Amino acid sequence: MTLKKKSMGRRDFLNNCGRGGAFLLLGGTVGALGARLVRGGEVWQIDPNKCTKCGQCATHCVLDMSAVKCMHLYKMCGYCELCTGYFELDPVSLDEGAENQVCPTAAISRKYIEDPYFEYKIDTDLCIGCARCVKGCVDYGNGSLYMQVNHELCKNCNECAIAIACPADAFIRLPANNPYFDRLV
Amino acid sequence: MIKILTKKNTIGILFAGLFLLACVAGALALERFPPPDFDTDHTLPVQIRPAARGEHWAWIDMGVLLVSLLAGTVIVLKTRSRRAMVWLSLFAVGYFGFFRKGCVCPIGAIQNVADALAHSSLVVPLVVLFFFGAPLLLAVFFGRIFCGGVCPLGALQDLVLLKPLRVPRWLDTALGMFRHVYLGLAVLFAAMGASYLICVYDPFVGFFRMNARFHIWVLSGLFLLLSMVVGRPYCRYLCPYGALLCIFSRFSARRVTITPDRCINCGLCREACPYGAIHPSTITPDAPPKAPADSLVRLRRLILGAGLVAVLGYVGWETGAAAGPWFSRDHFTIRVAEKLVAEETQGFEERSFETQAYLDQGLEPETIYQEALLVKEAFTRGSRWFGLWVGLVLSMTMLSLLQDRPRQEYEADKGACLACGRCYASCPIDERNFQGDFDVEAFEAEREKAG
Repeated sequence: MTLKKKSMGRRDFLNNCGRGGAFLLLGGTVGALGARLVRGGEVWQIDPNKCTKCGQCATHCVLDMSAVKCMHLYKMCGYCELCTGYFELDPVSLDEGAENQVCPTAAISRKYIEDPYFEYKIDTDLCIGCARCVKGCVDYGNGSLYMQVNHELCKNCNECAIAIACPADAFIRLPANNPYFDRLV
Repeated sequence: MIKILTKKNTIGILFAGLFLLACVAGALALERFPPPDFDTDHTLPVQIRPAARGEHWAWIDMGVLLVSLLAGTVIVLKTRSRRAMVWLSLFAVGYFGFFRKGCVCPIGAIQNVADALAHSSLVVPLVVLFFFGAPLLLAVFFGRIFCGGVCPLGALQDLVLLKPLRVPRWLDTALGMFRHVYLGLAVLFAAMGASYLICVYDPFVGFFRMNARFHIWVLSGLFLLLSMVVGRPYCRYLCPYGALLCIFSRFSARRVTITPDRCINCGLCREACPYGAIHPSTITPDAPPKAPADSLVRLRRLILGAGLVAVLGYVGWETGAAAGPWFSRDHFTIRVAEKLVAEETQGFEERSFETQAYLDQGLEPETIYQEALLVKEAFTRGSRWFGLWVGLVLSMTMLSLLQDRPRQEYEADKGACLACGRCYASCPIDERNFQGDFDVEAFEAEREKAG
């Protein structure tokens, strides 16, 4: 009887040690990572200077429709009639026909302002983040179109699937309170 | 400049001109077409900058998880009601599964934690830390409450379970090692910055989101079909978080106790448990309890056991190092570098997407080869530890099979019990929750007669 009691005691002791160890391990891990929270949150963003307009943003986001959208810096835009972000390289005619547009979802709308200026606006709901317009604008125009992570949509995964796939390493972390890339005009 | 642009018939020339201009302007980094001064009173539209989504869902999720875990604890320890656990499971599938689309979940949070431990620049959001820590903390005190009724993946499998087959103990134990191996792999790949394996190969999140790739749908279908005849195959044989919970709950102070009172060794609970997590009593009428082995024998066993751990650990350590380069092929840098090497050596008609984008940055192939070597080295180092882990898991599992402690009564396994509460409804001593027909007194009288 005494022998049995002794062996039970050892078992309990080991159990308590194990519990203490598990508790310390868990506390240490969570504590160490929790301490980083004071740094403040960070979010994903695209550095337009590094972006190669490869189109991976459209397909690699975990969301059904990518959180990466094309944004338009109007201050930089030349308001060209022949906008290379809007028209295919060799358009049949300079009008809104689908065959002339570079955007596969017709997310860019074109509005006449005054001769010879046209204004281009992006419908965020239609934009799939394929960067075709950005490629056209950067290659031949002012580069006022650029890719950005839309933070209304982004789930801010710790491991961004697009960041992993980005061949240009253009995904950077920005502070959550100022999550967009500031471009100088 | 703008004037020329208006002439529609000179588009071809225009593009040639534009291209030349692009070359020059690219070099000078100038604006090619100065923003216009409008004659009309046109004002520039405001730059759209959508604000980040509110944090409120994170707080709601944390609150719901906390309440669910507490409810599960009360059900397991106090109410002891299988029915209540089913309701909790239904809620979990509905809320964490279909409503919140299975994200954030503690299983995936392992990777975020591993990734952040390896990369000091990462900040793990509070909600992810909470989802990672809270179920584990609870397991240290009260066992795997999370698995029982809060995990949407577990609950989904539990709800479709029709007719559980009994998996033989040897097979159950052998397959059970996979979750530890999978945990090691997931940590390795996350820490190396390669991929989040658990999320990529999650077999049930496809149902919650009604969206998955084809091969994942096949996997999902197989797992769901398997779940109908084998109790919770994912939880028992693959779930990496289950592996962690299993280790943590072994030290739990309180957990599922099958009978609220004395055990009459009727064995009904063992029949009711679909997960093979209940150990029978070792006291039977024809086998008296074994005497404990003497200390010399125990010492010899200890030394042999330690030797086994050391040998398998070393084999794993070396095998892991050999497997490192192979694992590293999942890493993006390695993939691009390998494609570049293939294109450079074998000739190519068209560059692949990744290599083209890489070269478009004006970087030399040599740079990414150097990077790839570093990644490979890191993978080899990490993979050694993974191999050691697998060796440890293998040897500890073998040792645990040798150990057979005498038991006075039917007991739920400390690690394997998923706290589903089925045994509560099967114990005839538990009058409040027993669902069935069993005459305890007649059973005991008969056993007495048999001696």
